[in-house]
Amino acid sequence: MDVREIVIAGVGGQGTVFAARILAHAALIAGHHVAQSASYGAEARGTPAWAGVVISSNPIVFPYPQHCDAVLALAAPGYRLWEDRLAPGAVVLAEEALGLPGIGVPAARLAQELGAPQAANLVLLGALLGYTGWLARDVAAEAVAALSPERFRAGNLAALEAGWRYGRSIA
Amino acid sequence: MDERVLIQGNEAVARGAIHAGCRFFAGYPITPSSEIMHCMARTLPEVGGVFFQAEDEIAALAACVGASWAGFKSMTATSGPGFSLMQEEIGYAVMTETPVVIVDVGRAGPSTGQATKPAQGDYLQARFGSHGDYELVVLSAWSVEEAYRETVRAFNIAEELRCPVVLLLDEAVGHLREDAALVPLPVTERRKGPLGGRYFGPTPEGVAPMPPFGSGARLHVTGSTHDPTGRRMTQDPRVQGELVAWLSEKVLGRREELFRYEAWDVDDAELVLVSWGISARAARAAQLQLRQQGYPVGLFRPITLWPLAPAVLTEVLGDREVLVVEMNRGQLAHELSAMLGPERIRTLTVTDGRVISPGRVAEAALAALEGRG
Amino acid sequence: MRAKGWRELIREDFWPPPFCPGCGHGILMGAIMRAIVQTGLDPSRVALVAGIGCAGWIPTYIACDTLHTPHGRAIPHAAGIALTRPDLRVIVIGGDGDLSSIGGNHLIHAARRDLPLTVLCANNAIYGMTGGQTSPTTPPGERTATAPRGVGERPFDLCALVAGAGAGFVARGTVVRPQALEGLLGKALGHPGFSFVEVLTPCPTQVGRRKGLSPVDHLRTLGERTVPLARWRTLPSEERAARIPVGILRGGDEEGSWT
Ligand code: SF4
Repeated sequence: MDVREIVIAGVGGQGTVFAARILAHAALIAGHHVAQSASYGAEARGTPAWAGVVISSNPIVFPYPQHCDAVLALAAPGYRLWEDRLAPGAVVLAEEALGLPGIGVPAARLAQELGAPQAANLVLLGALLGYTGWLARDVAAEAVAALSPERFRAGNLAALEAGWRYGRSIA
Repeated sequence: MDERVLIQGNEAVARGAIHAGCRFFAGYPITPSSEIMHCMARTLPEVGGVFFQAEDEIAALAACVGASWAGFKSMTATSGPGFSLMQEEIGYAVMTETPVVIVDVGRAGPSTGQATKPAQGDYLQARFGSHGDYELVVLSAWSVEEAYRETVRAFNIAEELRCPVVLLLDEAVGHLREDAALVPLPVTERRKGPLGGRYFGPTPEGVAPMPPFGSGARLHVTGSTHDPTGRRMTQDPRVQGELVAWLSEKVLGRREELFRYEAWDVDDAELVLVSWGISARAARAAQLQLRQQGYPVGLFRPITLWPLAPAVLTEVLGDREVLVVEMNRGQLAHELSAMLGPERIRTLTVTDGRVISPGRVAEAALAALEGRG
Repeated sequence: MRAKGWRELIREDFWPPPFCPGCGHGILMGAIMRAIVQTGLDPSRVALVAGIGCAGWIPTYIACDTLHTPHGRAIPHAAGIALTRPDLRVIVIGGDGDLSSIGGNHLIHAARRDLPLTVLCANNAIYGMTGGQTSPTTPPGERTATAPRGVGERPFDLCALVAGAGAGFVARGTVVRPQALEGLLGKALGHPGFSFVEVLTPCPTQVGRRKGLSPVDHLRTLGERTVPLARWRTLPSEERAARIPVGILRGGDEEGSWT
């Protein structure tokens, strides 16, 4: 894989880092090199937060996203930090309710319907992978299963799957 | 391909320490190094080690020195403000020839500064922070995997030279999560004997053995000036002179073998970027891009930050122009100016709490090439 | 192997110690050596840890493993030894300035944690080595190099301080009664957790001279001011205030209030 730079942006408490860790872990399982970074010091709810993932089949030189190939937007404050750092043809998947530019995904609603309201982040991640095909569905599921706490595992897997289907449907 | 894991820089330090035989950790909570302490708190009891949360950073390093004399390889981890508090004890570890590893995960200062933002502003403090004349060893890492490897090397050097070794990271490497191969590396064990009565330098055999407390040596370990038996000699100019020379020379005498570095495309370069830690990844990205565009730019990355080896620097860099890229106001540049002469040294320094970007490095490199033109 | 007599504990090649004539530290040093012998400890399994100050020199002349550390830092070094080596008996020796001023934070935390250490504080209520400056235990009104018009602050009651921080064994003795002191040290060494012994001792050079007291008078005054705890309890309250109770203050039979 060529270098892919992906940012998951939102506000503190939305699980941007968790989604990034899942993505990074999935990339590792798929045999890629990967670097995952995050904004620190913005853990409080409401403040902008982001996590970045750089994936490549070669060792990664600079480990931070610079020109994003994809941004997943869970909330506007985090997205604003990255909107002027998009690569040409970048994929922006945003929570539909935010009305941001890019492709709207009803992440919160889908997560809610699955009884996993905490997992809107994974719906968006699933949608990205379904839409782009950058990583296979089963490695993503493996990563979710490996990193989710027991009580959230089933809900998280369902959210990823729902997102993946949604992503496929709009691809 | 090796077994690769996804792991954070701070955790990789803890893994390296455990691999190197570290069995005592004392620390005090501080961002952005605390994950090292958390990891050691979890792991040490499982391997027969001891974890201690001290009342402050002074006590943390002091406890490590005590544990080291008790026969345990020891480590502490901190960040700038705590590292400042440790300077007293670093001098004591130097003077008593105590192996100990100190990890400083750099954050933006001075003072409390920006606790969650990276910086490389502790370089000169690592090198010069305690009082008196001394030398110690300072290592760095630009990746998670290297953080693991250099932690192991820090322990090995500490044992070989019986001195404190500082591993200088920064928030960026400490918190970065990357794929890394944590492969087994050679480990230097403590030389605990023979019990010959001479446990401190200078001795004709070089670094003296270090029997642990309780082994019958009836050691006398003091931060006062002492002879090789440990006897306080606070009035004797000869003993003071020889001891101070020994403490420095045992480090400087090994500078060439201690000096680890990487270099790319230097031979035909007209400008060489010199950078370390996370900054060097921006410099490497910029250097690759500039080369692709046909610019004669190379990169030299010291991994050992102290002692530097002037002979190696001169050999590798020749008389090329140098652009030092670092997240401070020019601290490594200060040392390089002293060694290579200030005329050929330019700097790109960033102190805004952000990781320097490849774009800024490329810009500065182009400006330097033009300015030279 | 246990020592047969205290002379075995002299670190001969470093001898003699540098204390001023009439200083109490020599007596304390002897009491420590005897207590180690009497409790049957193997001297090569005893770790002595000191900071900086005249009292910090005491372990230098005792033939055990000795760590002579920076000013104030004996206790955290000792913690590193005690936590990793339960087979060693770790004894900290220091003065009032060393242990309760610059090292005060370490002292209360060691007591709180109940670290397996015996801490001996040679309290002469002055900085001796550096020239007679006020220490945290200098009584109010005393004139010192840094309080030429008299000390205006309250002193620490070191025993109350460490007891308040949770020390399981607290005792106070004086070098005026060396045998009683030896007994206290022996009991402290037998205590499994944190034990603390405050040792009242004269500094003829920095206190005695300033007050015009001869070394002998200095010792005599100290002797007169101190009273065994049991008797102190029977004194009328005005008299109590003028006297200092000695003995085991916590962790013994007579445990109870002494302040
Ligand atoms: S200055 Fe005081 S405490 Fe120090 S050795 Fe002399 S008499 Fe003893």
